[in-house]
Amino acid sequence: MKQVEYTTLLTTEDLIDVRLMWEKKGEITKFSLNYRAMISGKWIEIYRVDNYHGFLHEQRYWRNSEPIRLNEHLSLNLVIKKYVTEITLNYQRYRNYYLENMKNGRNEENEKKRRTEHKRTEKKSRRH
Amino acid sequence: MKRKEELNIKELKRKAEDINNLIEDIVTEKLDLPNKALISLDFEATLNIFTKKKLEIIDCINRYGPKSVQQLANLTKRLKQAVDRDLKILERYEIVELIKEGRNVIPTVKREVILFNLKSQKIKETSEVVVAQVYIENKNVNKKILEVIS
Repeated sequence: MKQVEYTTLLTTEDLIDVRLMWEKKGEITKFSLNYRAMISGKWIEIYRVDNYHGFLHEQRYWRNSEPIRLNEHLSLNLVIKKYVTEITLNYQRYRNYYLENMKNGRNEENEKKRRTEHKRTEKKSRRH
Repeated sequence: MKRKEELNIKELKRKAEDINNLIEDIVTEKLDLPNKALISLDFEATLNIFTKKKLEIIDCINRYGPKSVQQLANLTKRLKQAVDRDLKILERYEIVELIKEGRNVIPTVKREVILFNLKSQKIKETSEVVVAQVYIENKNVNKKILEVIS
């Protein structure tokens, strides 16, 4: 099993982390593409697509980190090609979604806070 | 405006093609890419990050393993503040890691840096900017960069 991971800079503030795993020459078995953007001096994950948990899925961090299952009827090599193109052509849009949601307080961090808050109130109400 | 958008789309398509070509070359084992490499596909990013002075910093860290920023500044014969500023930029791009040990900050190189000149775009030389046509057949990439700039 061979594996490599590297980072590709799209601009000074946008990058894609690529992780590839293959057994036979030319046949990828596992992969991940992770788009990160520099926001307020930090690299923030904005979009990710991978098949590392046994199924192909994407994560749109401008909404939340929930994996969204993807059904693709292509070979994995073509799937990767498709999503590389999709990320590269749309990363500015993804970044804007994230920034908009950040402004509206609907980004991942706030989601997490909201979820923990929700769990706390649930626990409290159970006690009562 | 429309023309600018068209150019932008053309440029983005080129970048996507470059990334896809690279992936294909890696998995068909035409290229032996070092792990944790950083590849720059963007002209502006390359010019901003990989100046001659910053590459000298990378080389000095690799060669002499300085134990503080001051030591690194002495090695590069530059002011500590200037080296510090460059280190922060290199840290931002995850090329260098700054490890705090007591009062000192020890810089270490985290990645192999590749300035990747993918077919279509040539990086021109200016007084500040390095000619960076580093070919990835060469495993010792950081060393190769220094050969190119010296």
